Parts: sequence; C-alpha cells; structure tokens
Amino acid sequence: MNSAQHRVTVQLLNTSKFKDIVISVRFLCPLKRTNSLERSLLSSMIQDRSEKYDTKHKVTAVLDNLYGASIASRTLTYGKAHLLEFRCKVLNEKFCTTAHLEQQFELVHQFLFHPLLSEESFHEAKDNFKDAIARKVDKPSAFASNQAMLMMGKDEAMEAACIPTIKEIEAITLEDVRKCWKQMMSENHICVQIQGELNEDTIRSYIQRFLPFESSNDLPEVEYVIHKEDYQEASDTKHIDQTMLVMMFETGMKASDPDFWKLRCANALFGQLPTSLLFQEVREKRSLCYSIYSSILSYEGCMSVSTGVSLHQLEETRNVILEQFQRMKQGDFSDADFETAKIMLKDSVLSTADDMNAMLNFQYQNLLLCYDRKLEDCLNDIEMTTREDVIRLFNQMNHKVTYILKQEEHNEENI
Amino acid sequence: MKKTFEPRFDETYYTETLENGLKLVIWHKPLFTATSCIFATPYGALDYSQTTEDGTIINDPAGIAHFLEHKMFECSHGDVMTDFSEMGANVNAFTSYTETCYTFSTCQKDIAKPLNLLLDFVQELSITDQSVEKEKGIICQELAMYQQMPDSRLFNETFKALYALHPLNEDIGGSSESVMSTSRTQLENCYKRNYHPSCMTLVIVTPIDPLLILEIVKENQSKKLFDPPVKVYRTPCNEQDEVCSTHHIIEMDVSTPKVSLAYKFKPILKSDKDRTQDEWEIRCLLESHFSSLNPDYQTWIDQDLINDYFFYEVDFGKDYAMMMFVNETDNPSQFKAFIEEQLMVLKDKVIGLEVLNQLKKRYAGQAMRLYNSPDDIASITIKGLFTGVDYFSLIRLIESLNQHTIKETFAKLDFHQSALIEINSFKNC
Repeated sequence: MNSAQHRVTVQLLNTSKFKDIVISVRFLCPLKRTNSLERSLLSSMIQDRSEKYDTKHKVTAVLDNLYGASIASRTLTYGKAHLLEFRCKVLNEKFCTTAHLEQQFELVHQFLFHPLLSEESFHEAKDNFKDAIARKVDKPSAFASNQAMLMMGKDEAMEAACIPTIKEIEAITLEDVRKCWKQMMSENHICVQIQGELNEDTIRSYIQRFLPFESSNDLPEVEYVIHKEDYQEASDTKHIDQTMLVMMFETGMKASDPDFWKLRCANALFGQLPTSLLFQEVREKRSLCYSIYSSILSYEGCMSVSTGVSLHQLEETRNVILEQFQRMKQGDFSDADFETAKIMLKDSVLSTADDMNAMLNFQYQNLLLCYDRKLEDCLNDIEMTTREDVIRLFNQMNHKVTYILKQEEHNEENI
Repeated sequence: MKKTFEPRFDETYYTETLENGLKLVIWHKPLFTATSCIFATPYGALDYSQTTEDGTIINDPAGIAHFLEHKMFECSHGDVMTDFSEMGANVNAFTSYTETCYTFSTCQKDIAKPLNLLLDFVQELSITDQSVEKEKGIICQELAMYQQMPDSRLFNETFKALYALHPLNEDIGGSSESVMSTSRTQLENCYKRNYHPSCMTLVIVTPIDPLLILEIVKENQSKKLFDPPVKVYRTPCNEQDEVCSTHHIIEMDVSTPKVSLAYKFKPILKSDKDRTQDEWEIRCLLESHFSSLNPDYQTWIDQDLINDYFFYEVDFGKDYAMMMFVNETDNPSQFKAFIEEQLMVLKDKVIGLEVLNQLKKRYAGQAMRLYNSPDDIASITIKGLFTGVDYFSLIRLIESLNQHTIKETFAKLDFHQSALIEINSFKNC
C-alpha cells in the first residue's frame, strides 16, 4: 500500500510471515561523484554513533537490549541517482517480554536526526572507506568489473559509481559531510518503508512523531541507456592465479521499458542460469572455467559477462562467449532451453515474496520507475515472452567493451 | 511422525526415521511460498582418510568429498541441473569440512517431482572415466579462484601453519595435484561408504502439508534397495601438539597486508554438548572483550591497533581446537603483541553479568531471526544434527552460561602454541 504523507512516500508492507519489524528510510538524489563519496562517508558515520548514543559501546548496548537489533546504512546507485538507505531491524515484540516498537522508531530518529558528525567519527569513517577501497582493488573479480565499468561508463553516470581513489577521499572535509547530511534531510526524495506484522494506525502515528521530515523533493531522474560509439578493449597484468575476463554490451533498453522482462528472459537463457548457453558451452562442455555468468545492469541499459579462466584458454573462452552471443541473435537455441529459462525466472520472481530485503527493493523499484506493478505482472510478462522477442532484443545489443585482468604467464600453475 | 512445537519461536517441525535409516525433518511454514530442501551426509573435506570396522585404512586424495559433490550432478542422460531447472527448481550443493549438502528450492506447488529427483540423483552415482577427467579442469579453476582471494587464502594458510597431519591442513577442494590424481574408482568407493541412507538426513522447509511430504519420501525410498551400510570413521591422526610454523609470510599481489594470529589447543575430548558449551563460553568472553562491548575497543581503533576488518574465530571440533585473530595491518608484530597482552588481561577477567545478559539477549534474537528464511532453517537443522546440538538446545545452552564457568574454561586454555601468518604485497617483500 502506498500513500503520501508530508510529501514523504510511505510504503507499508504488512505481513506476519517474518519475525522482524523493519524500518527502511531511503534518501535519493542525483548522482554526482563528489557528493556520492561524501554520502558514503555520511552513511558510515550515521550508523556508527549518534548524539545520544555517542560511543560504539552505547550503541551496542541499546541494540543488544532490543534482542540483537541491527542498524545499517548503505549507499548504492540507481542509474543517474544515488541512494542512501538507513535500515533498522528489530524482533517483533510479540516474541519478547517487553514492548519496544516505539523504541525502534525512537532509535531511527536518533540516528537520522541527531547523528554524531564529529572529527573522531569522521576520521574513522575515512580510514574505513580507504581500507574498503583497497580491499576491493585487491579482489581480482571486483577490480576487473570496475575497470570494465570505467570503460563502458566513460563520461556517463556509471563512471561516478566506480571505485574512488584515495586522493578523492582525502579531499573531503567534515564540513562537506555535515552539509551533505543537511542537504539529504531537506532536499532528497525520501521514502519510508515499514515491513512486518503491523498495526497501520500505530505505525502512521509513529512515523509522524519520529520521522518528521520537513519535505521530500521530487524523484530525480533514474534510468538511462549507455551508448558508446566505438568498441574498446584493455588489459592489465597482475600476479594472480586466474585471468579475469569481463565483456560489456549495450542493451539499448531502460528498466521501465515494456520489454524489460523479455530482456530478463533473454539474459536468463544466455548466461544467468546453470542451463544457460554460457554455462553449458563454456563450463560444462569445455571445462574452461568454474564460474561464468551474465547480468543485466537494469538502470544503465547494459549487460555484462564475467568469468575467470586460465590465461592459455583466454582466447578460446572469448570466442566461445561470442559464439553464444551470435547464437542468441540467430535464434540458435532450443525451445526446451527457452521454456526452462522462463520457468526459472518465474520461480525467482515468486521467491521475492519470501525475502524481506527483496520485497522492500521490489516496492522501491516500483516507486523509482513510477508504476505499481505486482509480482504477478512480472510473471505475466515472462509468460508472454516469445523466441522472436529474444532474438529481436539480442539483435539490438552491441558488444562494446572487453577488459582482461591477466595473470602473469609464469604464474599459470593450473593444469 | 513426531510433531514438535516450539512455542517461544512459534515454529513447528516433524521428525521421522525411515526403515532404511534415513532421517527426515520437516518444518512446516504455511505462510511461505518456497520450499527449501537439503539432503546431506556427514562426510566432508576432513574425511579423506577413513578407517573401516576391521581397521583397514583407506586413503583418498584430499578434496575427494568436494570432487564427488561435483560429479553427483552427472546422470545417465547428462546433467541433473537441467532436469531441476525444467521443473522450476534451483539446485545446488556445497562441501564443508564436515559435511556435503545437496539443496534445492522452488516456489512450484508440485514438490513431488523435484523432491524425488533430489533423492534419486543423490542416491545413484553414474560416472565415467571421461567425465571424471573433464571435471578436473573445472575444479582446478575453482581452486585458482579461491587461491587469489586474499581472505580465503589467509584462512587456508593459517590451518596449514597450525596442523602437520590433521586434514585441516588441506583446502576443502584439495590441491591441483590431489584433484588431478583422483580416479573414478576412488570416487565410486567413497560414494558407497558415505552415502548410505542410514547416515544421511533430509530436511524440508515447506508450506506444503508435512504428511504429504512424508508420503512422497516414503514411497521413493520403498522402491530402492541398498547394500548394507559400511561402517567407517575418520582415521584418527596423531597430530603433534606443536604448530608447524610459528611465522609464515605469503606474497600476493595485494595492497593491503593481512595478518592472522592463531592458537592451537589440544582437542577438547568431551561430549558434543559440553564441547559446544566450552566453545560458546570462550566465544562470549572474546566477544565481551574484542568488540564494542568493551569501551577500550574504540581506543584500539583510534590507535590503529585494529581496523574495521578485525575479527576472531573460535572452533572446537571433535578432534581439534583452535582460535584465531585476524586484522589488516602493516605492523604484524605490533598486532601479535597487542593480542598477547589482551589475552593476559582476559586470564584475570570475569565477564560482567550485565554484558553476559546483553549477549544472551542478542543471540536469542539472532536465533529467532534465522527462522525468517527457509534456506537458513534447513542449514541450521543439518548443522544441529551433525554437531549433536540442535539449534533450540544451543540457545538454551547459551542462556544457561554463567560468569564463573566462563572464567574457568578460559583458564584451562594453553596459549603456548601460536602461528603468525602474514599476507604481504610483493612490493613490500
């Protein structure tokens, strides 16, 4: 059920299926590089301490006394927009000896409206951010994906979402973060989601009392479609045990496109499932890799293919992947495989209803794409997809980027 | 079929042991859409050497349990994954140190087909020399993938530094050498010894009527004949008290150095319940000290003694016991001195009653939260059955812990055997 309240969007997901009550507050604004990094620091600081709970020790105490409640903040991008989500999960009070729903709301209020944006917490957040960047760079698969996205997203919003440099983090000041918080509270699009077994009247009164946001801006532009003029290829070498290959394709399609679920079907058949062409041809038939998959970047109009192989089998793998891409374009796949892809995709849509996070994200995406779709609508779209749709959509795609993170030749010790 | 209702968790489950010895646990979750299922054997990576009742020792290559898990998916007409997918079911499998699990989940209402398929494919091995050879390339790429991940590499190297003979010194998947040396015959024999229904457990979490599920399983099993079970156990090893290496440096292409300081203890030869209690007593004490429950924790972060990657692990298995502290730092000796100093502090510490009660509340809440997910319910049920302490008992056990036995249990640990393992950048070496 959706409704507007003080211009803040409220979504109540009432279900007795789960043992928790979740409060999720989502702040969305246009994606800008520097601002997104400031928000990442803010996100880390917001969840760490507040004015009332001004030490980690106090925060832990209040959460433990709420039966291991959790608070977490994260940032992510939705196409041209940047999201900061603050989430608080507490056990439904019917499983406890004390009532604490009001305390849960009070807790969210404290962390969002009275965060501790101090020098100490700022420096700690900065250090943690720099460590997290280094960790990502050290992980070959994450590094390779990032490099491919940098190439594909050059001069687009996607570039702003790539791994930052330490220098960029160093340049941010505490004052920047404080301004960023003020801006977030007053100038972002704000959505409050509450999920669990709810008394809606009580919940609404608590929202009014504990989440008194002054205003919420209009939804910023979210989805876009990347278009690159030329094909690009690049590689780096590292002393690693496997060569990482990432290929990126333009799909030419937005997430709100009526054909979007047809594209998801096509991707499932191409490389999402164990029955897909990529998995069967690259892994099962030729034993070239352990892991290979394709995925759709819904809000950017792209598809990526990622795998890890032995350096001496790199060219063979690359050729087999491109052959499968051609097969999709030519409709060289069986009816049985196509039907299987549809069945599996429908099953994954149905399973959304059993997952608290997935349901929250599904409802939020409805909001972002300005429609009110039910899971059944997605199932229907999948059901209606034809072979011709798949062929047509793959013929609209273009292979635009290949990035290879090579293992040094003398480090190729496998097989 | 025995029905059990846990009022505190508001959860109901059913148990039954079939004539052939197969143990069945069904959790009824009427509000959920999906059915989640695990079929498991308590045969894992630590079991590559087994001893039969007559004392014969069978030594298989390391990683054989994992290799077998890969090959189970092959069937006479090809690949069983495709069959599951055609039914709208997601099938998967994993091998841990102590068990091999085959899972599927589906939102389809017709559960009989995937359930029968799970039982059928795990209860029949159909492989050829050629298909075994073909799988070796895939597994070697899987090993290479983990080998280049700094986190998993640090874990594996820590076990290697601690243990000379215990199978923990091998990766779950083995090495490329052990994988390349694995034969079809070894896989088949290993299957015969460890996949008899009497040593296996089937857990189903489902919205469907449990009686209907029981009927499907019973009917499936009644059609099958099995050889008598072969009784085997993990070959005991005379593991030395000393660690293999007190200091080991691994060079990787990384920018962030990582370090692990691990302690090797003598195995805790107690019942499953008592050993689990010891482990949780130590866990509570460490959590009270090496986390934000301790006001000093913030000072340690501010002084760069630890960073947000810092964590500890305690593992008291049936035939081993260890503890490790992990951090990112370019000053490993400072980290070692810091942990050693804090362990000395802990020797004299009695955990505060308030903190202990706080932890009990936290763990009780986290336990309840696991029942939000059918997959989690299936996993913790298997873990409980194979470790000998089911999840509800574990929560009651944690709630019964007291300050003084925690202190006594910690005092008994001998911290003389330790290993410092570093993952360092080439550029720094």
